[in-house]
Amino acid sequence: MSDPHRTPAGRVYDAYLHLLDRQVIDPDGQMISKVDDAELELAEDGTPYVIALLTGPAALGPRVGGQLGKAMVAIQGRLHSAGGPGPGRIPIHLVTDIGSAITVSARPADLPIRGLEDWVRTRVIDRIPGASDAPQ
Amino acid sequence: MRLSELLGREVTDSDGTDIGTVTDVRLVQDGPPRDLGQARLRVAGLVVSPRHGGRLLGYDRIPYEGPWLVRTLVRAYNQGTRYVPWDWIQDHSEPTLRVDRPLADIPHLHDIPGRRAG
Repeated sequence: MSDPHRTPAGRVYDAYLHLLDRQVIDPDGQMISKVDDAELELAEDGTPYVIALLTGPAALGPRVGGQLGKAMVAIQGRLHSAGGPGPGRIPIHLVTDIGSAITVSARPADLPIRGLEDWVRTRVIDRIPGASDAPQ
Repeated sequence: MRLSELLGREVTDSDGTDIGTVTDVRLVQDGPPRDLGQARLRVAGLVVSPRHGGRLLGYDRIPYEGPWLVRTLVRAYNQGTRYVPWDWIQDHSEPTLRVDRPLADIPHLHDIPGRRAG
């Protein structure tokens, strides 16, 4: 049994205070997404560990709850790209710093976290006449 | 399991006395590294409050910092906030989380040492 009065060996974070709703940025400071939830995995001894940060409507919807939350998940479920209908997922080993923002070692293009944006780009924007000539 | 599934859960002591709801999840970065990353974030325990007061700008988690007036008010507001180590919970799969000891043995959050993040 753990002794709660013993000073922890590692850094202490309160998930709601230090993780949820924080901005995720890449090494250059470019904004990637917000942290909408986190995925936990139980170790063999029953201790949970954070294994990924979750982003997007499919992660935020259940937190919001009610009809609005269900609608967010449903829309994400229908309008998604190859990343699938689930939330965007940032493996925790990519996190290099937890501060006023969450810094990750990956670039936005390398993370499967923009399902809805990708769907809108490929299914809507790219089909607009002249889209292929538009400057990036 | 998602982190948000823990937030808002009702918590009772071993006698079934209501303690409050989970308002935060305390993480300690001391787990074995995974995939060459940093030490893993372990769920160490739960912050359980009888009030749904929100995050209160963090002053409720760092009780010895901030202007004294803010400290005093926040501490008074959070008088009943407790800290429950994860391994004191009997069965985390139940909708209501039951702690394996009576309320008197569950420490107040402001009595728990913590190394400030950052």
